Amino acid sequence: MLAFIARRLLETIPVLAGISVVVFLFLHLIPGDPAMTLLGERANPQNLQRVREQLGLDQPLYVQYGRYVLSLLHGDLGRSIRTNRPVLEEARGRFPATIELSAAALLIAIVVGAGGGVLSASWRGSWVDHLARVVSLVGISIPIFWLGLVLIFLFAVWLQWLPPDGRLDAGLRYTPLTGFVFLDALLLRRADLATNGLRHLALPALTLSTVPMAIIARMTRSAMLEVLRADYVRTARAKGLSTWRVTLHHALKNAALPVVTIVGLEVGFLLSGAVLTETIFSWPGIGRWIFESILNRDYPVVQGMTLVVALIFVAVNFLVDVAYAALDPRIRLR
Amino acid sequence: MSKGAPKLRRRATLGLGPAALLAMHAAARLPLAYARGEGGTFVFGRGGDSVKLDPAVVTDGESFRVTDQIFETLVQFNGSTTDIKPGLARSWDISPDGLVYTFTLREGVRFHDGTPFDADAVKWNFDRWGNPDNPYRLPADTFEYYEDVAGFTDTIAGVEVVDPLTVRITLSAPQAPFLLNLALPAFAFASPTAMMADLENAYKNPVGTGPFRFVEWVPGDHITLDKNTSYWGEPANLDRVIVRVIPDNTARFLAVRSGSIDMMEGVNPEDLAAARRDRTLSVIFRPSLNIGYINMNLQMKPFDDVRVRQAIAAAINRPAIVESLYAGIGTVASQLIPPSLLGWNPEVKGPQYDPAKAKQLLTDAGYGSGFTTDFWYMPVSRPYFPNPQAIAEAIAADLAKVGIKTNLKTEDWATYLTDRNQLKFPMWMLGWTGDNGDPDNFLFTFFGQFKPGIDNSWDNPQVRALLQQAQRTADSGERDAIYRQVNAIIDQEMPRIPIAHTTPPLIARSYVKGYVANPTSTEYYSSIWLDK
Repeated sequence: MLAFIARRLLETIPVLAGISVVVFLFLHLIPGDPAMTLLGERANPQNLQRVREQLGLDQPLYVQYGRYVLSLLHGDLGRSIRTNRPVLEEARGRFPATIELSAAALLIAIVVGAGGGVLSASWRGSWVDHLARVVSLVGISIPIFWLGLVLIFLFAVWLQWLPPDGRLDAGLRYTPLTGFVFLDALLLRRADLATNGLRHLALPALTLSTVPMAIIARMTRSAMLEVLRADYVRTARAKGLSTWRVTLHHALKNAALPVVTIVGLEVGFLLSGAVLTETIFSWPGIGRWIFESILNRDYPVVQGMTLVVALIFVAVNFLVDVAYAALDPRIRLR
Repeated sequence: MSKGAPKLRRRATLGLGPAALLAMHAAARLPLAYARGEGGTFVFGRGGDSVKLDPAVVTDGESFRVTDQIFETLVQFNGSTTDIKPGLARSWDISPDGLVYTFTLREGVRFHDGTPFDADAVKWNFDRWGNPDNPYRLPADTFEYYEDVAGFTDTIAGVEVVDPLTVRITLSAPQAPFLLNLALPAFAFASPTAMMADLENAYKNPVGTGPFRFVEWVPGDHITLDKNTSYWGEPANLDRVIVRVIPDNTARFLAVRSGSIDMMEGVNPEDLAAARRDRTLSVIFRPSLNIGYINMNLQMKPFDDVRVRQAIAAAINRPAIVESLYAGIGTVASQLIPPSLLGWNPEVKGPQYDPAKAKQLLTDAGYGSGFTTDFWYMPVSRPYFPNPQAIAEAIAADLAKVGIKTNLKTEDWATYLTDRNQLKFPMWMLGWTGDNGDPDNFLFTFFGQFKPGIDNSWDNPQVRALLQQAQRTADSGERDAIYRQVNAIIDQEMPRIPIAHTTPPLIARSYVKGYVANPTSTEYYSSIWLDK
């Protein structure tokens, strides 16, 4: 197991190095630079040159890259060109928002998706199955943008049950301890933080969960169907075990493998930031931030966050492999 | 949305006990609104976050929107005009040669940290802005407004303290819009004590003299300001201001409709009509200080021929486009500067819609059978072109009718700006929003220089000389005459085709009173009160 972990960690290094070079080159080779986006319509050669000098963009590429790698090795991701805040500090401020949103969306997606998939498979061909499959198709097809706006209109404007956007009411006095609203609510013993946070989280989490939910549902259903046909399931039933015990304990555990892969991929995608959902709901996460930074050509942010996101995917992949080993003893022996 | 009985009926049909639902609804509604204090909390929604709260080193409107409440300038724009009125300076003298400005400052003004605002503070700030060797400049600081927009680097020779309440600024050459430039948000004064104590974090700990003081900034989310109870002037009505980021225009509009914000800027043209119909909302128009135009590369055929340019101008049905695609916020432009500016020429009528004349001009120029060209439009909505794609399509349709076939193209905004500076496009849409209400800010920017790296392809030495002359004259009568002449020449030569000026709309809840919109976008919340 230790060797496995060590090997995986070592493999990460060339991956990250390669990514950093590619991202750096792409960013610097596309037209437009931070000086241009800072100056906008008023850009002219004089002020462009002056701003570029001040930002260190007039140096040759290899010098800029060299400086960047040097600071990377010191754990310094540089400063945002636009705001001059350290990239790490900005990321630390925004990550909790993305994590909370992703966790909530994933929870909904797994519970409803996997639950729906199991029911679908267990009562294959019934109205439950048909309904679940239609909902799943709709979930994958619906444009998130549109769904988000419709939900806001329905619940915030028309019914006035929920707030339309943001993570907390701006008038709420809150000095973050950990940055995680629900954790802070616990630590600071503030129920109002938790309820307010939940009300704001509901719609974006629901919106963001639709696609993963649909995918997980379909995957669970097909995996369950395959497993339910297997001999050992027939044997278990023949032995007299209740349907639910058979379904949940024996079948689901085996069907879980492909579902875990999917969930792992979804976690990666969710954590790298849900740009559309974050934009519609003004959710202060990393997705929207990275997207805007690309448009603003904010090199340090894009370079740094691409590495961070890559790291996330690597870590999640690793955890998925570990989960495999936990779920399926046959894998452990390898 | 109407409240009361109809809603109850709708929900009752869901099958749940109406009483239970009523209770649920009432409970759900209670904490929805933001905590509103006695004098009221005003929540403004905008599309992007401020970059930094240090007005001297930024150029974006979202930073200025907030710093305008915290910091103050020597002089200010008066109400919804670009006339100048006293700010932190209560009076001033200008020497006859226009080179020496002596300002008398208000007494008893203090920064939010309690330190005094005086001539030393003024000089300290000016030195920080203008002196490259000043120790209180961070490496990444750029003083764009000082150096470029106002041109102070080339103009201000010295700033001296005459006495604690008198400052003398000496110019190396007269600058007619000098007072207008001093009213720009970038020249607001920060507390030297606060900056010297912590320069690194000054951009997020602003300390000014204004009617609001800074409370907190949650990046990407909101900025909170509280009323400055020790303000030197008339204190603000509001107790608190919250400026929130809501990136999507439609989501922001839904937020103002739901009442979770009190006011917003940046509405989609389609939503503007709904806003006008909604009795809970009011629409406030910012007086125009912009122009949307079509630019051409005069070094490429066939745009080098003035007849072709005039033909394109005559082929476009500008009144119809403004009528249908500007949601009521546009006026057809007769020239490249808005009517409120000095030098606007009433004799210049601008291009008239005349497709027959267009065809004739094209034939005269040798393009009787028309020609084909790429026509570029921007991918983002700009104040001067609210709906660029639709407008581009309408223009293309008009041009097709006289035989000019256009290939519509667009690309990412940063790339667009880079490419137009390198004159990569044969024909493209762009515009300009004025900074200080002076015609030089428009016309010199467009045509004052002819060299590589800027999007001016019109080599007209006469116009350049006129523009330079107008910069150096302090006499407004003389400047008016010069700019009128320049606008007449532009109308004959048509290097850029003016399309429209717009009055950017702001949407507010109808209980928001006292908002004064200014053409330069420098707008103060101290006059706002909430009628509820």
